[in-house]
Amino acid sequence: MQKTSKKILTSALAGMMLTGCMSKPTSPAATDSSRVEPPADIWAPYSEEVTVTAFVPENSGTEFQGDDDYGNNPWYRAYKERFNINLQNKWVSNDYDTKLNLAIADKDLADVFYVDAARLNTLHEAGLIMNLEEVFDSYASDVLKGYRKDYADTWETGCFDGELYGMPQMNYGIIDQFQYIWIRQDWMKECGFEAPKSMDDVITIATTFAEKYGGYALPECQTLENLFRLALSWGAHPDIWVTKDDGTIEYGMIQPEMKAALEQYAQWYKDGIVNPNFTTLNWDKMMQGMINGECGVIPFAQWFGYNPLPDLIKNQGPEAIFFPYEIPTQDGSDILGSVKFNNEGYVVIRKDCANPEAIMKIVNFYAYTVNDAVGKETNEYLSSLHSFNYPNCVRETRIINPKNDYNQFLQVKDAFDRWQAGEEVDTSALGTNISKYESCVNWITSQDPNGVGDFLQQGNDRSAYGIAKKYVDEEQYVQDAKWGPDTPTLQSAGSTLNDILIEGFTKIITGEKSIDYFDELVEQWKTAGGEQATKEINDTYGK
Amino acid sequence: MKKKKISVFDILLTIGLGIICITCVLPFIHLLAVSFSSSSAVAAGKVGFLPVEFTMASYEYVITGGRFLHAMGISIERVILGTLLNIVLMVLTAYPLAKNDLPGRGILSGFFVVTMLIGGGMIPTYLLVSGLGLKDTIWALILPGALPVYNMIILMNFIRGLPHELEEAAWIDGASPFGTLVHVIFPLLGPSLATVGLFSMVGHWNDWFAGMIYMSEPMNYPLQTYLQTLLVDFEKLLQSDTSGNIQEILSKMNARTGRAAQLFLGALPIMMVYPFLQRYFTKGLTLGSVKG
Amino acid sequence: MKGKSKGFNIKNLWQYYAMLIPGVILTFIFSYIPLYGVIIAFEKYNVGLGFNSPWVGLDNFRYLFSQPTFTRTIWNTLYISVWKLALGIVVPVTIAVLLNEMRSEKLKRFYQTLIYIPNFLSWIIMAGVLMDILSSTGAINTILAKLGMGTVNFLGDAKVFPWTMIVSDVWKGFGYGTIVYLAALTGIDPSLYESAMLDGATRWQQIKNITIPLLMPTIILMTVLSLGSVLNAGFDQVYNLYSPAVWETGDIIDTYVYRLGIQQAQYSVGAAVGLFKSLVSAIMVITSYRLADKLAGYRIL
Repeated sequence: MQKTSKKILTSALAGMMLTGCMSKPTSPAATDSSRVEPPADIWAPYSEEVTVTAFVPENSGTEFQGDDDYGNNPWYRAYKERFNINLQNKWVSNDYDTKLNLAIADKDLADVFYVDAARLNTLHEAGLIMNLEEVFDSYASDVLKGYRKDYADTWETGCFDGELYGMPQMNYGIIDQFQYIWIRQDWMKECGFEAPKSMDDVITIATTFAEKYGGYALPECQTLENLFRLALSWGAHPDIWVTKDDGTIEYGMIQPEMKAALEQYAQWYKDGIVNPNFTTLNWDKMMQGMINGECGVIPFAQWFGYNPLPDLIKNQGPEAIFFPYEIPTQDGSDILGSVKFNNEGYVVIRKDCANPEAIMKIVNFYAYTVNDAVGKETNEYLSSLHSFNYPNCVRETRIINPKNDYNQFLQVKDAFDRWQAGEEVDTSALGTNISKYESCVNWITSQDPNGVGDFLQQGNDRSAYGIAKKYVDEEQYVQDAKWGPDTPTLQSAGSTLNDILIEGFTKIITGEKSIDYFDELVEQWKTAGGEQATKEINDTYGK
Repeated sequence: MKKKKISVFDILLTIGLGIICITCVLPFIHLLAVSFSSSSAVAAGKVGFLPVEFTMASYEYVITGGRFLHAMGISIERVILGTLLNIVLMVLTAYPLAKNDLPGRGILSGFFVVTMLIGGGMIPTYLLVSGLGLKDTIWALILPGALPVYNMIILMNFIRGLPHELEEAAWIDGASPFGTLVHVIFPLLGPSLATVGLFSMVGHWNDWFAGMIYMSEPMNYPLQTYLQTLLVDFEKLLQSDTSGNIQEILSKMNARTGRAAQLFLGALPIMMVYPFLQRYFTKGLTLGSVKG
Repeated sequence: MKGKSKGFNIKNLWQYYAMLIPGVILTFIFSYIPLYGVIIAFEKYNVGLGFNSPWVGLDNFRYLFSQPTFTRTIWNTLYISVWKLALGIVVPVTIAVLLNEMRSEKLKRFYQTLIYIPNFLSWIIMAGVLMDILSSTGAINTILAKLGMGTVNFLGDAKVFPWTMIVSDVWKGFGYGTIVYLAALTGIDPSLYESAMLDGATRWQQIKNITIPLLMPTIILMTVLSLGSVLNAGFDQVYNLYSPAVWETGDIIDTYVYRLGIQQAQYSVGAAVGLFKSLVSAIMVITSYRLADKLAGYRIL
């Protein structure tokens, strides 16, 4: 016994010494940061290989085709072949914020990475990132320069004293941002309902469903997200900052319109229309009820068809499909959606990066593939870049075209309509949008639940984007007066300011407090920092 | 030795504790069922204690990544090295501190206790590990927690409970403190070492955070870090287009089934070791046998 | 070595200190050196500027304590955590003693394995299970209704919620403590029981007069150690189970600070909270240690 324990100890110690040396650091070697003179033509390759490094904010477990991975994929090969640029990942991690903070603290930065607005400030303050004016001026493609002109207000948020430090990655378009009322079709047909024209119609439909099929009329969860969607009907815009008639900016959630919506909602709760158990439900549990067929009406965003509808269809059958409808207003006027400032992040370049031009080339290349490449490159090639998980490989270097989803919708809808009319469809012309079109077709031909999302977002005659296109074309929305990142008070408050209101609204809905409590809540919100935040927003974003 | 008759108390005891045990096991069985059920059944809340629409998709997703076995190898290496180092250091530290009258003992034990109450936080620790060049080595996972103070104190109190006579006999025979520790004390520590050793093992095995922050190369991830990576933004993965084979798998699973599978794959090795350790927990330590 | 031994080997005293060297060095390097990090609690920390960020004194503390809902989180934290601590001692001790009384060695071992199982379940995964079990139509309410006791809104009623947290946490964690106490019980000399039995002592008397007193040092040790975490009421558990309807009684320091956005870049406020918690823990541990020493004569640390 004694001998064995001694033996174990000594061999263990010896073993530790050995293995400690064996685990090799396999991360890429230190950057070769020697300067290479770039060619004059921004699309031309370097004369000798240039190595730049990146942080990749993605799931390192993702599977790609063949032997591809985050360090070797069609994008990275294109950089090498077209520009003689070797892009190396310093690390790939989806715990990005933590890893990035540590890397910043350690001053161990990659040449290119993306950050949020708060860290853009931090890095600029600490002098760790490059002023991009010069390199942007000389090496950005016309597409990028066009973005900067067309979306000047967004690009302004990446500037300090008018100088560009972070290139905003922008977003896929405001067409994504609208809200709908989704209604279950088989029930709707059975009961003989038409599209709702007023909120009363919505409630009639919902309560009839509940009486006939069991369950409850309106679902809700602890975040009150459905209330906030329906509030648009009263002209409230709880998610955004609104400009009042006198030109001052105020928070949407504390406006009288919100109070009116809340009052009606509390009445609905009292009448048993809203799910009585909602206060403890999180999103998954709320959707569990939908999937089980407890409810046939839900206010929701455009992506209801992706989640939870496929699960719902697998449990309830394809007839249980939901269609999106416009939210009717109280006075019968056109509904106005809320549009928020939306920016995926900012592409920044390390201060000491020897070859910032190489990064501009990489950024140019993405913009090229989504704008002018159709016709110049084969469709097979373009779809190899944009299909499967490959778009994730450019998460930190892509600058998105905010018209992306709008244009995609036009193409997919057009192709799908022609297919339904029995015409020949040249799918190769669809370029990167082919998979959306194919999903829509799959839904019709085989009722594949994985296709229903694309079908309801774009393909169907009553689709979310079909409705939203009208909102976009006719500017039927209110734009967030806070058109940019949060101000300091909002940043340091996190979600706690909103939490005061959500906690109080919950009490009003459940009847624990009367609607008069609303005004008290607004005062609480103001003293907790809301007043200060409002002042800052007016100073920063007011006219 | 024990030949007493079974009383009503014994029966009630067995049943009562049995009920408590059942409450501990039921959620586990439920989660096992969840891990083998299809996502649509789980999302609808249909799964009780048996799988609904049986599928191995969640396990396939985790295992087919190819790095599963590699990551498990790293975890095993870490657990073995880390636990041994923990035990060696805990014993070496706890033994002298168990001597109540050792001069300076108060200050020394205070030195260790302080670290339980206050810490410098993640960033300075990271900078230290990085500065020492330990990043991307297994030492980054082992050295910062080499001496688990909490468990060391538990061990110290176990040592105090040991009878002094044995030690004193050894000293009379001329044994040094080191000799006494190795030959007399260490063999007596079976149950307590099994206890703190189990805590160390489970701690090393379950820790995913250190692997995430100290490893740049995903090939160096221990198992729990790897599993965490696979599931942390799982919903996003479902949104993006994926290739044929994996699409098939993903359509049958969701974050809940994935996490349940992660739980079982992660807990399995520990559960396999547990019965071996357990022999020590309940093995009554009889003084007679030691003396003999 | 005659008469009263001092409990250590005087002749080779240096060897005891030699044994401590590795532990002291490693602890110094990995626990003491990083302590400079606490200064960010007094700074407006910018991760890029590092530890030379602007000095703001006590502003971070002032900010935190000026938040209207922060004080209630302290009380909630204390309420939940003190009960968790108390039951977290009583329950494992009881179970350990009862297990120790079991006749069948095999069954005892089997039970012991089972009660450790919940320790493997993370709260994120347990939360989903608990929401099902505790919902208005869940298993527990179904049983309560059948017994004619009405239903309880375990997760949605602000009066009940803290107790839901306390009981479920004790349930999930008691296997850990039980193992510690069982290990301590193995150290008890069986001859003590044998002579007690010869004296005709009942089992209850044996438990009261032998088992419990011999477990006392371990119980006190575990109490003092757990007092060090009196301001940790269990972030993972509460975060995954609470909702705005129960913030009144269920929002704890850690969940509140999380919602303040510590995730983003607010390390300073996080460090301030950490320092505040350290201070309270230190006071609790030192006081309880002194008390144990004075009142019961146990020097556990």
